Amino acid sequence: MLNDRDYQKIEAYLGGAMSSEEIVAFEKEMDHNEDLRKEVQLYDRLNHHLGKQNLDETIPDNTYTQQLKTFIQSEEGIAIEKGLRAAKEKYDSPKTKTSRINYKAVAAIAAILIIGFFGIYLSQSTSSERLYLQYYSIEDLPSVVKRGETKTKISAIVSTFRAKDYQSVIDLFMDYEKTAVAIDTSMFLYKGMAHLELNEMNDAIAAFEVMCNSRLLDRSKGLWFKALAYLKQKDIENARKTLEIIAENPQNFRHKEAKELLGKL
Amino acid sequence: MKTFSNHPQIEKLVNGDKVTLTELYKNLFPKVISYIYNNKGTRKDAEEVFHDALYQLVCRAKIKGVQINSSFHGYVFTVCKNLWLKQLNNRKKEVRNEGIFELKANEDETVKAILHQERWELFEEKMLLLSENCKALLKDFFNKVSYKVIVKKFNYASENTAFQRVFKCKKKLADLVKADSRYKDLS
Repeated sequence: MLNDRDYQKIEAYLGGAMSSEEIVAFEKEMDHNEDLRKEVQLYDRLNHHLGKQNLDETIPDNTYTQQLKTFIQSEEGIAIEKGLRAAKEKYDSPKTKTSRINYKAVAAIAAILIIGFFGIYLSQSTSSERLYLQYYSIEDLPSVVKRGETKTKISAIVSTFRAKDYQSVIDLFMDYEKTAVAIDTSMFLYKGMAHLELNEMNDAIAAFEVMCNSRLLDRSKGLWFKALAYLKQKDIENARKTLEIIAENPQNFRHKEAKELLGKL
Repeated sequence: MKTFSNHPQIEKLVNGDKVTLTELYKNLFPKVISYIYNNKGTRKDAEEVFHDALYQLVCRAKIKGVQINSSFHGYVFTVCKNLWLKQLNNRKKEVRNEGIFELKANEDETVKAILHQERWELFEEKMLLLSENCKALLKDFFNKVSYKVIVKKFNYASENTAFQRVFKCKKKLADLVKADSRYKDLS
């Protein structure tokens, strides 16, 4: 029969709170006291169980473990094990394997399609951006000569645009739009390009449309900048459509370049 | 002569009933794959664990019978889960003992896994018989909650009182386990 002192020692032994001398003495005590040894074993198992840790133990030698070993080694045990494995193979085999191959095939095809799609998409997008950079020139934007206060405001828009302060370009344009007696529609190209640089595509296109629908002789500049905007945004379809409109009339701004671009797209 | 009884589904498994096996592979195996995938394993690991779990149940059923108080699927899943956690733990040790690790005989591994599962079931069953206070205290203690926090949470007079309470709860659990005849086979 174990007493409180024994349990305190068990706790200290399993909790690593004993000195090396105490451990040696306690283990010697366990060698001579089977009850103590079994209690230590149980507390060790409980500690591992409660701490959700695995305890790798040797197999105890008792009737039950002997029966288990005998059964496992028996013909019946081996046959059952084989039967279960066969069931696993059967489940895993014909139908499932085929379907797994199909999954793999589907996955492979999907991967190819995705790679292909993104490959085309990336190459298209990369090339469309490259074409935008190649064909866009700040010099195509109008150089406006005006007088008086209007001149100051327009110059401010142009210089601010060249300084790449695009948000300020839009703010300045709004001020110009509110105060100018007669709007120079070509200034919408600056507004449109400022929106484009800020990735505000809808506002950019709207601004270029104003230019396209104006009565200015060079209104086709609106088409050209619209086509460039679509290129920058990797919208190949709309870029092509817009370029086709430019290509229809040799009088249109950048007619030759539009045809070139169509060939490259 | 057979003196024990098995859960009906286990009995079907022992008899190699194909419908039961197919049903298990169709409905339970995917859950096991999912669990093992989410716990650092592969489909191959899941296949081995599932097979080992079924074989373990058949071995136990043949020697002394398996009674289940929960659902059959839930029970088999718990066996799979324990087997996998045991394997994960062993893998860590294999890495630590790289070079000196030797593969043990399959039958030894099966017996060890059976004893591990049966001890787990017994300990969990006895835990349910403890007072709510003891359960909460042991849970906190083994989750490494400090004595200082335990003292405050459980309103104990001192850390020494908390230590004594943990000790008593564990002793109560140990006494419940020892008093169960099944523990003899497992020790």
